Amino acid sequence: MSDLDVALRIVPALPLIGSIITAFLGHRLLGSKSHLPVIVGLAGSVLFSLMVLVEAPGSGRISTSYDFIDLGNLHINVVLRADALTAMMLVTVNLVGLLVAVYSRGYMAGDSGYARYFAELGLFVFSMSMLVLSSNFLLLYVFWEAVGLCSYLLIGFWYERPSAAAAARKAFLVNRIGDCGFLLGLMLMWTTFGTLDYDGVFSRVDQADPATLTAICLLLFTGAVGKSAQFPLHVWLPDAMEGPSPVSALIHAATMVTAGVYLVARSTPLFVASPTAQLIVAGIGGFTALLAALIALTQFDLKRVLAYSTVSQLGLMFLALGAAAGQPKLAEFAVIAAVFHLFTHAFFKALLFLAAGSVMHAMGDVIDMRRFGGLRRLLPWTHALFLIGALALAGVVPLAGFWSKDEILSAVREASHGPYGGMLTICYYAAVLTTFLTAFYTFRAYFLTFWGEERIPEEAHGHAHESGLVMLAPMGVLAIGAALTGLFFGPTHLFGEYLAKTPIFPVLGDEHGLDWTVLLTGTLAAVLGIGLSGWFYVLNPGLPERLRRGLRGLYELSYNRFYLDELYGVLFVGPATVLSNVCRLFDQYIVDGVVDLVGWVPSALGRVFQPPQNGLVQYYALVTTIGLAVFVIFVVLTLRG
Amino acid sequence: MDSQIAEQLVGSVELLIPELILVAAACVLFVGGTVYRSRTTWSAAALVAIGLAFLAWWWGPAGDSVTSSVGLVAFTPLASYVAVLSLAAVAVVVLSGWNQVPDFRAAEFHACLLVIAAGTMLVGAANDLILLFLALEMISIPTYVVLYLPRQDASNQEAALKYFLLSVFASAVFLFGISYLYGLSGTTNLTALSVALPIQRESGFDHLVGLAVVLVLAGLSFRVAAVPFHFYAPDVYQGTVPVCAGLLAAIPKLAGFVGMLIVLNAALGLTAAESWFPEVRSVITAVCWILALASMTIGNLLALLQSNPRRLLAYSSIAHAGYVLVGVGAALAASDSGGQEAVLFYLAIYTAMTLGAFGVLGLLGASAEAVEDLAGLARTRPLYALALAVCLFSLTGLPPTAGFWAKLYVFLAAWASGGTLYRVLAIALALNAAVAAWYYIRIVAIMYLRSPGREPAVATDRPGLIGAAACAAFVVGVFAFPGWIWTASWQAVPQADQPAQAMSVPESLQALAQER
Repeated sequence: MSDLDVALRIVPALPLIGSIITAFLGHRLLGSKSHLPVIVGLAGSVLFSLMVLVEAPGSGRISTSYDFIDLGNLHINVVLRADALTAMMLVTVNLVGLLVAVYSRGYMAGDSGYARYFAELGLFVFSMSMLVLSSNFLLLYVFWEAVGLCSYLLIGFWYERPSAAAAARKAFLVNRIGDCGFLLGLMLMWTTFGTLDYDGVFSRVDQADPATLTAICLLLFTGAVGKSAQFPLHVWLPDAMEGPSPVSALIHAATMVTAGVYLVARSTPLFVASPTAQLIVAGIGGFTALLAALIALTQFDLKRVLAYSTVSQLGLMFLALGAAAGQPKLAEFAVIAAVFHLFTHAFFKALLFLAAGSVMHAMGDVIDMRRFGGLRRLLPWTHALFLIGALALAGVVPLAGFWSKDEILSAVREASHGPYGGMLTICYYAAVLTTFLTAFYTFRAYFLTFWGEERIPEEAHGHAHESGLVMLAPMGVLAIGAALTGLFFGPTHLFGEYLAKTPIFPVLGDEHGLDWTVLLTGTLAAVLGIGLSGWFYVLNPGLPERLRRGLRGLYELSYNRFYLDELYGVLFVGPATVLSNVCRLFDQYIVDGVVDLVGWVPSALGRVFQPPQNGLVQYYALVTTIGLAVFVIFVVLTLRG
Repeated sequence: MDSQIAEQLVGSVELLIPELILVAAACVLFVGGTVYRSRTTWSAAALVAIGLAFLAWWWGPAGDSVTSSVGLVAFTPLASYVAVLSLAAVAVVVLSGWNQVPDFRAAEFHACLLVIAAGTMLVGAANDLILLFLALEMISIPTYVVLYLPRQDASNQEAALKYFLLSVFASAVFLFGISYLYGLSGTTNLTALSVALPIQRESGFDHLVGLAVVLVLAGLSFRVAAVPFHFYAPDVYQGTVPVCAGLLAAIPKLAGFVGMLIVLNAALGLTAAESWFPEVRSVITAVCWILALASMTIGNLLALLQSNPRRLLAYSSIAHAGYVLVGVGAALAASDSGGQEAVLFYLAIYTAMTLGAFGVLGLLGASAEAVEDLAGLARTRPLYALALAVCLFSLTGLPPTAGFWAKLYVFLAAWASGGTLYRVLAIALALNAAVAAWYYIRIVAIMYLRSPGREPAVATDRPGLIGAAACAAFVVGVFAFPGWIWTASWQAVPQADQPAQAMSVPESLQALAQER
């Protein structure tokens, strides 16, 4: 086993070990030190994933297998593989995971479920690492479910709160819808290609007929829609904010929700062969981006604004993933743009969530922006860090979001000159509008929270204070990432060149220079958004209220999230409740009756065999002798006769 | 006895150093116990002796296939497998019994355990029917003492006496079977037997071979508690203390099944390229089928009705004997079914999970006389509950525990052996596992879902907990890494393409065999 083999196994193993130690010893033994095993494990994983990052792409990919079972004709191997895409994801997951764990040390201090929290966090990072290390779709699916489970556990972390329990359930159920599609996709893939291995599937893409291929792609995409909260399955993500803020930062912004993007990016060879599927991906992505941005405009819950923003940004990523419809040459550029945005988004969105958590921490768990304001003097560091994150999200030069968003816009614009130009042109303008709206709502949140007169809710009990170093330091690291990663990787094409070494991109695209039109349009949209937001919320604080009255209908539509939750309630939840009641009655009276009968038969039979067991040793010897005699007579007679 | 044979006997001593260490230590304990009474000292001494025996095995001719020149013992991979397994099992029993026996009985108790360990090791190494019998008695006789030692009330004495009487009966049946084998072949040496018996192939003694084998099988079926030789098990397990019940459920089963494989290999050539007595073999296959089906089904059905956890586990151990018999039958039905490997693998896992389960019951002492007494254990004693739950899941055969692989391998072996009958048996096994789940999982549910009645009034028993926890950890660990045990059990079975044992049969024996 080479060093790299070891590294590949260690990366997921360390968080798992940390998690197990914390789970078993945390509550009783470690107490307030329960974070240690997980943080130490994550730190080790970061180092080893950096090693993978450096080594993996050199040879295209590396892999290591662990023979779970190997006997006769039964082989079950767990194969881990790492290429450039995986290495990039691994570093992101483990690094953000480590920073969030350190932050949680301060944020969760004193919580009664402290050990449970860290155990679940470690389990999540393990599952997510395994998800990106998987070498086939089946293993990917297994850990896809595992991260879903961790997400469920962490959203419902404060399970005593009915709202948290309901949110966890909603997240789980909505995700099941997507997973159901994913699983069907796997089955279809198996019947079509006879394998679920990445290499095997991708090398046989030409053998499948186009309609089947489109079906497979769309079913896989269904899974991605659920996990990455795209329309129409986006409804769970805003509710997921019931979980602790660091969880929102790690799972519901930086890593788990990007698993859908990873899945589609990983399946690029499949999607390239099916322009229809790509077009649907782009369409759903563009639509979600715009829809979520519109909803985010009017929300007052700071974390929900960020959640809708996540949905919107994921939409942009999907838009890019599907943009190469009909132009395979563009695929590499477009996919890399999406993954680059995934990468930068992880930094600034995690930063924003952690900053929001810091605000929440100071405000006594109040997160409604109508109840506090003008916090820039009270929380100077949080304010500065939030501002960096907001600028990066809005896409201001030269912060991270600017570069990656620009690449997405360029890719989509270039795609709009292709065979499906009409629809992609619409998508392009939707993306530009989204950029503008993003800048607007991000700074709306920023101004409402940090500007204006200072207001502190009574829940803070007068001891509102800036967070400690243990929370600020990880945010600082993320802020550096949010500020500089774009500049470092974007204009230098380092990221693109690195990722292009992933062996899944079959078509080498052309060189793409800077598209100045797009660059200026994007920047203009961002600056306009920020300016308008400043004019609305700093210069003319009365204006939004007047506007709200004037555009009542539109406002209500956005504020109530286009009534989608209610619509789903009537269309799906209601009928499902009726059906489940019918099933319950059937279960109660018919199924249970049969089960009871089946359960009764063995114990009734048991009573038949019970009498010989009467405690008398002579009797035992007698029955044994009779038994022996029967066997002997049987054997002798058979062999003689 | 001429000087040459004496010399050879001395030479074979070298192969028996681990067993000699154990017996010597047992003597020290027997004598020492009369002057010094301390359970900690003598338990620790027993552990040290087991450790030394293990080291002696490690440095000895372990793993090589060596046969002593007079052919009494054979150092095959099978012997190594059984040696390690029995040392580990007895070590766990020592840990479980650490605080379960009174100070003034401790030395004798642990000395008996050491003799039992030596006996079990000898069963695996036996290359002679007489030695096999002696080895089995080396397990049985100290077991009578062990059953009698920890507690002297009426129920315990009744249990010891029942076991003694029925065990003697079983030994007699076994000896009777051996006598037929000797009569047919003129030798008690197993290697010689496997050469001499096939010569009788054409002589029309099929029914005598069948009779011999079925008697041996019956004698050993008592040791493994297979129906209809199982009657003692529930009464004895319930009457005695948990640590003795655990010993009874683990060690005699191990020895009995290993003995079964050894005799069947020698008499019927389980892995031989060509069957010596195809008709005998098919009849014995049928006998095994009946034994397996009856043991599984009756064991499980009666376990459903039990409320005493030891009695419940007694019936469960009968059912498990049935599962292992499925593997034995599969090995009889087809040489390449993997039945023997499955049996050995199952025994390793079964030993751990059953010792773990009885170990936890031992920790709870008198506060676990009914299944309901375990209510809420997860809250009052979370570690006990976890260890017991893991062992029960493994006994059920659910992942992520090794019990799953054990059942799966037996199932696959039965399926691979080809005939319809054994496929039916494989399905019966699966159905039985489902029935068994009901009473195992019920205990887990009671421990985890019910609220505790009263705090179990037992002091924390650290060595006992270590023993039970080691079993639980083993069961979970082997689920994740089953390869090494599987490989070991694979190697422990003599493969068809190599001669069963390396030793050549003395010419005099061959001549004797041909003469007949």
